[in-house]
Amino acid sequence: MRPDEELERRYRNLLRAYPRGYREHRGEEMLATLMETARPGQTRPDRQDVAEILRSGLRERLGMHCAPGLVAGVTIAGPVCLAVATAIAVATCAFNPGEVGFAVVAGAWVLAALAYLAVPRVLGWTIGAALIVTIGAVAVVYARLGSRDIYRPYWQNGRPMVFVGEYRVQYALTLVCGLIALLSFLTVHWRRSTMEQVAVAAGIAVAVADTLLVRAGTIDARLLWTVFVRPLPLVLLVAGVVVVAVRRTTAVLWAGLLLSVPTPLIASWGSFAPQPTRWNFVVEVYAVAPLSPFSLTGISWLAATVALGAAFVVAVIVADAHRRTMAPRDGRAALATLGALALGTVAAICGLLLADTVYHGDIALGSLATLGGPLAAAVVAPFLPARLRRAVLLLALAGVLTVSYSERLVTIVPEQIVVVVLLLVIATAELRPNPRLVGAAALGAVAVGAALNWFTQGTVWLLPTGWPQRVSLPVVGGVVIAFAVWWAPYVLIRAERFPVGALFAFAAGLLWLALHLALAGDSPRLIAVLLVCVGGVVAARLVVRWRRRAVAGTG
Amino acid sequence: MTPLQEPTFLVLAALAGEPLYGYGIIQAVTELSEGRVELRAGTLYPALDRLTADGLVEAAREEIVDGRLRRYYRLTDAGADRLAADVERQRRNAETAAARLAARTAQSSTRRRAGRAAPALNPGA
Repeated sequence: MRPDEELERRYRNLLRAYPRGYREHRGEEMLATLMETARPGQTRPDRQDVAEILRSGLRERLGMHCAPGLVAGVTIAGPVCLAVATAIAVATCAFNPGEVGFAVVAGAWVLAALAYLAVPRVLGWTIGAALIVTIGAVAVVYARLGSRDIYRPYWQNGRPMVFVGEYRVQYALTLVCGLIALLSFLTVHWRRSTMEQVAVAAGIAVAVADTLLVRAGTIDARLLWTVFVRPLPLVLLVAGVVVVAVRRTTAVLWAGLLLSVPTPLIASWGSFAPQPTRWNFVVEVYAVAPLSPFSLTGISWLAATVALGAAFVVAVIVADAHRRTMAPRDGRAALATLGALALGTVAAICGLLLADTVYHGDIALGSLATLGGPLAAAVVAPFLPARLRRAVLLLALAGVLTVSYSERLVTIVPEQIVVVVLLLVIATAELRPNPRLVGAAALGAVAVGAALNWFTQGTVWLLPTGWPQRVSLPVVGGVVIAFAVWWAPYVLIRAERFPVGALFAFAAGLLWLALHLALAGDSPRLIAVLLVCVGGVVAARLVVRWRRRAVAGTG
Repeated sequence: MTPLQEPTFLVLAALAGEPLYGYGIIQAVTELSEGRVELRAGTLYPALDRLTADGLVEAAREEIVDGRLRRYYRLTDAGADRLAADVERQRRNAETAAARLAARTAQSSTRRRAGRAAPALNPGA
């Protein structure tokens, strides 16, 4: 084989990094350019070309270019998430002296951080290795400590306790942050400016110093929590809003959104609500696991919530990206769709919570403002001119944050969820959402809640107490139906092509249930659910292929 | 309007003349930037995707040369306006900076003359 034929074959294989639709549009052209830029006699793709193509291929597959500012946001979030993962790993190790597994995990993340600072060539490998080490170490430590994983008081005799019961929450956080860092590294080029490196190094140093101070008893761990961790999403949000107002770019909002993904876990890490309330999902989780509020069930529930939410968002983006591959690119339309879905969901959540609060006679000014504000904003926003819409949404955001972060109401609203959804709303404040789509999303969200409620015979909307224990096949059916109801208006109104993303979202939801069944030791149903999952994914692939053939046949 | 990033600016500048295809754009950008910016296929095409989506650039024609596809791109009117606006912004920046530098040169030459006359004005003293 001639050298250039060899090289061409290799480049063709490399271009498979792009989705087929994109390859059909760009493939030949890119190949020509790659071959023309090759050195004479070159037989292997250039290392940097490989990295660039794999990155942009993955970006294309994830539909990341659809959302303005998303790529820049991922670039910001990546190193920050690496720093957070490292800091938490070190903190967990420091709080649990004598645990070799924890020390190994901390070491792996410190190595990754050092690679970021000094040896960027091996950065991807070290992040991947740290993730694997974390999963392995958690499994080993769980095998040893798992059965004795009983919740201990956080603070005793004026000294912070050894947090044996919490290590899995901390590692869940490390894993989520680490995964975001890895995803960021795989999709975008990390700039590694000196400023950024200094900021990341300083962040890690401060976190480690705080940890050591708490361990030495110099400062109160609760203070650290209250001052440092809890307001983190708030700080990120305010920073994001300010930057959006000043620079008019959505990059920092996307970074904030990504950094907010692990915040439900942070909430569970430090949520020491004095008494369970109806709406604190985290406390609900504690209530269903009498022995251990930080049990694997609780963690998996939170992790699954995050994963499901992310899957939903990604599914919408990908569904739009898929459509857009064939049509002229219009990222803003995808973002407006996302915004409409978010607004509708906010309206539904706040409306139902408000109705329930009033029904229970709990008519406090705070709860009316926290729930009524976003509800009103979501209802009127689609009809307002751009400038007014932005103002109303910002006002609603400020209101809900001020009230929900105030001492008294902090456990009433599932704040992290509202925060993440509102971030999306603000990110799309500049685009006029389709009012019909907002309405459809709200109806869909209510339908999801109602279906789940009916199937689980629960008393709490969406996710009743004890829900994980009562998972049964009807529940599985309920989730599938609920998702279908949620997606149907979207599909009908937009006259979409078949939304493949929706099927993958089904699969994600079913995997979530499978996780709970596995935890409950319910093997027959677990197998049934897994089969449905695999069937769903296979069906999605078949439908995509069939449609492609149909399109090719007519075209 | 936000300033264009350098690679984007260079791609638009490369296309300001006649339509170019992929490799042609890469060469033109290297030339325009005097070798500082070397685009690769993995960075050029995402940039072209973005510029096409924004309506600043469009595909002009296609040719097959030696069995390889060459798709030529050209600047749209909107692209030309955007580039012109950025050129104007940079020109104004450059003029302001040049004026200030000129003022500084004038000042320092007077100071040097004054310094020779009165060494006591030396800030170290």
